[in-house]
Amino acid sequence: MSLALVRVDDRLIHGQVLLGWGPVLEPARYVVVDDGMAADPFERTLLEASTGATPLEVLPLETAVSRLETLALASEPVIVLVRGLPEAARLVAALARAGAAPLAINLGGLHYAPGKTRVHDAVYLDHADRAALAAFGGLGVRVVVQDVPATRPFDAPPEWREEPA
Amino acid sequence: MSRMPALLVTHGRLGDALLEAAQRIVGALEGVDVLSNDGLSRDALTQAVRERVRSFGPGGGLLFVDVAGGSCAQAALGVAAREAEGPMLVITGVNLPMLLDFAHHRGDLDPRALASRLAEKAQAAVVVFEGRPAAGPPA
Repeated sequence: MSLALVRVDDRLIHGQVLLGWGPVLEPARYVVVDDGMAADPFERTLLEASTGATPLEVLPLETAVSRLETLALASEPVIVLVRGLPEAARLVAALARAGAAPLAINLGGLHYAPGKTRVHDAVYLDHADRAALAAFGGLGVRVVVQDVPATRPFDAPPEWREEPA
Repeated sequence: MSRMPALLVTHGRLGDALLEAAQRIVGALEGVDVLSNDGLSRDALTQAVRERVRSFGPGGGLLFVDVAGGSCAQAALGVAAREAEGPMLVITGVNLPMLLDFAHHRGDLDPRALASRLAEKAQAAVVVFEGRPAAGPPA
């Protein structure tokens, strides 16, 4: 009775998700929560075409909350993807208000972009990301860093919430 | 017909390795470029594909990617479907036989005809053989 994986990954659907997590969790459905993608029919089609026979929904944050509440109560495993930590924090805060917060989110990949500093392989953070990590702490939701099932998971350490010296 | 350009977009160093292996067999492949998704976000990968295919021109070209549905395939499709100057085709499941056949026919087929041919050739190259136990006990 929960979402199988709520993952922060700026690539959204890609090889690690489809071929790494897919065979392990065997999701019945993928849900991408992203305002930009949901508003762009071309990007939506591209994502929908990438999961083969497994259905994929692309939803804006506003409608995603009630949809995920429903999916969290169903027995089928669902993989949820969000492109960034601030977006994930907003989603999880809304789910928490509805009593449907996940116990943990998966931090899969945040690649380099200007203004971001590296804290781990394929995890680069900026100020908004650090604030989001603190917000997850406030919600009591663990942030577990793990790109694929074959690598060892660990909790995002508290110092990741602090600005680099 | 001039030599058709191509770009390999793959995970890790697969593209480099494939191109190197192909070149050992058929010699230098000019106009064939490689891009890895290593360290690139979705947007950065799409931008990198965009920059690499700028040289294709109105004659078009081929984009070889490894995994259908992966980040490389999505970036390639995103650029090919919206920004191509000429016929630009994306082929998933790139393998060495496919690349070798491309090398042999890039001068005599147009991108569409070559892409269809390569899809057939690459699939036909996947064959399963079953071994047999040795007849007698080991010496």
